[in-house]
Amino acid sequence: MSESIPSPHEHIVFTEFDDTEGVLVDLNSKRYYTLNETAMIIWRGLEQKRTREEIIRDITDAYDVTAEHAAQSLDKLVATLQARKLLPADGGR
Amino acid sequence: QDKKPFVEPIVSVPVDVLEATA
Repeated sequence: MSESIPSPHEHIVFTEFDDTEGVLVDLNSKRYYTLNETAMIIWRGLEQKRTREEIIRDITDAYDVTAEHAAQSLDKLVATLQARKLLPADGGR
Repeated sequence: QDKKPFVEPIVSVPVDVLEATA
C-alpha cells in the first residue's frame, strides 16, 4: 500500500523564484520561509498530492542519492514543515 | 549519469513579512 503525506494548508502560498530557490508565505501568521532546491521538489510533490513513494522517486530521479537516504530526508523535512504548521499533522489530508 | 549531487532539503527559519517590508 502506498503511503500518503498530508497536503499543504490552503493558507500557505508557494512561489518559485527559479529552479534553485522558492518561498512559502503563511498568510495567517504573516511569515515567510525559504526552501532550497530539494525542498522545492518535495513541496511540489505535496501540492500535487503525490504519495511518499512517488516523491522519493522524484528525488532519486533527479539526484545521485539512494531511495533510503531520500526517504529519510523526506521524513525529516515533513516533520519540520509540520512543526512550523506549514503542513497538517498526519491524517490531516 | 545526468544526476545532480544531492543536497539535504532545507526550510529556513520563519521571517516576519512586516519586518522584511519595513
